[in-house]
Amino acid sequence: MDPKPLWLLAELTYKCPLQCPYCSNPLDFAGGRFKRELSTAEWCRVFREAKALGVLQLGLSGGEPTLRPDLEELIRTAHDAGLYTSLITSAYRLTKERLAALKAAGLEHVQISIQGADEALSDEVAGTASYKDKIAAYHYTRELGFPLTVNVVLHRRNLHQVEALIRLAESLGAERIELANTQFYGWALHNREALMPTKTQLDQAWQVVQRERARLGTRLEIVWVLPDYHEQYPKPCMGGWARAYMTVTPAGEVWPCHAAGRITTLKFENVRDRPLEWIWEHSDAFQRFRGDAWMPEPCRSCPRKAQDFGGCRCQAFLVSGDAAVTDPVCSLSPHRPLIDAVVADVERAAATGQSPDEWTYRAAPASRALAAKG
Amino acid sequence: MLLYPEGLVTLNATGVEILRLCDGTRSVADIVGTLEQRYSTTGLAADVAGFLERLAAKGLVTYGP
Repeated sequence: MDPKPLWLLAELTYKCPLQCPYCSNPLDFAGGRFKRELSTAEWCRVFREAKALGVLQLGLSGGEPTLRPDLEELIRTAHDAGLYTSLITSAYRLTKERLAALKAAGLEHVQISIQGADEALSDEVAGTASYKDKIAAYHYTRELGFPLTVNVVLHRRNLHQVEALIRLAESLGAERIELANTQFYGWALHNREALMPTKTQLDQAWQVVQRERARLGTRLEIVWVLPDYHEQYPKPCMGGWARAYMTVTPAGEVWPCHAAGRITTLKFENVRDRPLEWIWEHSDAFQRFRGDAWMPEPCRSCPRKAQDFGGCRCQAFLVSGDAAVTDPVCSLSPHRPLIDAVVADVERAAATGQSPDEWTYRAAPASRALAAKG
Repeated sequence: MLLYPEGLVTLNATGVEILRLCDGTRSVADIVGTLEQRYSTTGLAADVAGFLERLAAKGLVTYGP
């Protein structure tokens, strides 16, 4: 029997006032594929179909989801259907009144990103002056009684601030801080040379995390998303392909994860053409890597395959050109030298003081230029 | 079923019953007493404490000594 999804990530729009160079959105987010956004009624249907299919957790993301003027109505529908709703936002220009209206509509949990522990770095990474809005919004969530997650994407330019970031979350009284080392998809892959940290940086940050976890206990949950290029084995990506998770993109395509749209060898269906249940159970994109029959060696005979599911299909495609091979970060993968070469380049550049720090900000003009280049 | 940020736990009937008694005024001892009276039994303190500790570790309940 097919597994049932528990999680749905609704990417409501790819418009965003921030321009973070590590964004996981597609490089061609400004192109025609994502242009015709789902209507209010279409999203509401998706949420009801998702609940009927077994989904319990709904993430409302983007782009910047608060740009949708119908967000209140979408949340009300999802909440009334019985979904637990989390808003994943930059908090840019987010007022207390809007947050209160979202709470009244049934919103349960708020995640607000921050790009650095101080205004100068946070705004530089975001490419948009937004730090002050974020700090204000953190306080609004406290005043309104939301559980709060502080989200930080970590990379070479902000890893030294891990302790300050944890202290910030602690001082805000947040329930969770998610320290997510950059995963290299979308814009992050495009900007990999400028974002990839050194092993020393990662080791130092990890020591801070362990110390702070011991100090804080259950007062603040510290989530540490592993930097997989520096691991020996791949991450159990999405808990296995098409096992528990689905993403609906702004124009209605349904993906097994938020990076899967880049795999050009898969056929994706759209909620405008098919019911969500059919897409989950029968579409090529969901069927192709479900279970373990697709696995090649070294996964096929590997005892870890039930644990990591062969790693990430998107990473396999992006690094090797074939989505059906073992995740190249696995030390047993024949493609691991491609990963080692990237890591070695970063170490060599750091040792000689020549680390590149130029990145391309995630913005519509850059997206169109990159798409034109192919 | 209890849903919370980025997760969920499935509760058995006993768990639901304990959680229903967590009303912000009862102490842990009150909850144990209520359940022991309800089922005419004794010795539930360790089970209740264990259940609440597991939820507290996830930040789903808070309680004093």
